[in-house]
Amino acid sequence: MEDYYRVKLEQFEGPFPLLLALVERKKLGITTLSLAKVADQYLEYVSEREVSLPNLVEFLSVASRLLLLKSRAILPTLDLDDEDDDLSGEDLELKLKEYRRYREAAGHLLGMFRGGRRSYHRAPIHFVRVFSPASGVSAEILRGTFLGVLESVSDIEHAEDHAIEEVVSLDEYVNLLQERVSRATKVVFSEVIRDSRNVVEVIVSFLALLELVRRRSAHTDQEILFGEIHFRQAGEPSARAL
Amino acid sequence: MDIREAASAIESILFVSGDPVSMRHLSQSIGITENETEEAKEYLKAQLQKGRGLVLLEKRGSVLLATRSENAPFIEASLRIEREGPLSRAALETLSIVAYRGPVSRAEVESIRGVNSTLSLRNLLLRGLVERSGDVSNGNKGARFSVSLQFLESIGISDISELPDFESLSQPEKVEKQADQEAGLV
Repeated sequence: MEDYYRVKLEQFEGPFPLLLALVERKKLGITTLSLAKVADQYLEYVSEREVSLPNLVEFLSVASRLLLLKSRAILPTLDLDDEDDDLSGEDLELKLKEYRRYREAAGHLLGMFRGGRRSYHRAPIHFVRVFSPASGVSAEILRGTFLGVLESVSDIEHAEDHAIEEVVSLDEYVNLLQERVSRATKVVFSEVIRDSRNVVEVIVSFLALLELVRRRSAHTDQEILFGEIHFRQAGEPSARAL
Repeated sequence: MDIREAASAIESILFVSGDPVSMRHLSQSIGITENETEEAKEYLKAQLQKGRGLVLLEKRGSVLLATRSENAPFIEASLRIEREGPLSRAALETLSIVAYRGPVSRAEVESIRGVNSTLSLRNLLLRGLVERSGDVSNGNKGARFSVSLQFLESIGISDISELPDFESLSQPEKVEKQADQEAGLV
């Protein structure tokens, strides 16, 4: 009886833990007969807490089944004409056994949680920016590119020297070109730049040509894109007009 | 590509990921078949088991690289990790049912426990120990629950089948049979 009073003081979340506690305190197995034996104590527990039980419906549902079991145990000949499986004692018995198995498993899990043996995984790396060179870029190409960058840096360092060395006058080129145009009926641009020593001279030659056109001192024509540029002195009849 | 190269590739991908990676994603990333990926994964797992500090955690088609559970004390000391508060008895029961019987519906959990288990399930979802799976298109009604890789991590096993008595507790019929046998002994 002392054990039973301990049960009475405990808080049970649902009917199964209470039933199990009652059966186990009496050192009974889970059978329909043992369930019938604890029916009174179950009802007593529930009736004392009627208002406060959080899962009252579940407690009462089991209570009704226990009452049926008890009636059958007292009056084996009783025929209540119920074929409903839900009300049979076997169903309650099996449910309680199943519940007990998982409650035991929960105990094992608790042991494992407390055992302190757990794993950790690392936080994902969040790549904000990824260096993604075009396909086919090798370490050797990167090396070459870097050397090229270094060279251009040294070019800038020597830029002053170059500026002193080479002064190219656009006016000078304009005059040279003007003179050439006036001498020949037709001038081909590729010949003009043939003797250029560097790209700056080519550019200045082209600027000079544009300047002549702007001054209306020369006519130009270019048959195809990036093709040869022909020019002649303005006022001369064009080849096509002839 | 031989199995060792594939296993090495898997290890590298898992290292940078940090998150669980699906087997499908692994096979696509490496350019090998799913069968080859499976073999390579098993090879990697066997390699790691030879006393390495990392293990592979597995759950239905996903793998995660994690620390060996025996090393937990050192990691916790190193990172000054404080353990989470204990689970309630109700949550623990619910967790055990989800672990052994998952994926399960809420109704199945409640049928076994005999009480409403919404709060317990929510608590477990919040802790990341349990996750929704199954038919999401059916809304919450079709929701089924199973334990997460974090759950495996938190108790230090690498596969759900390593739980004690998994074989018998994961199948309803066996549970009942076992229960009957126990009743016979009393």
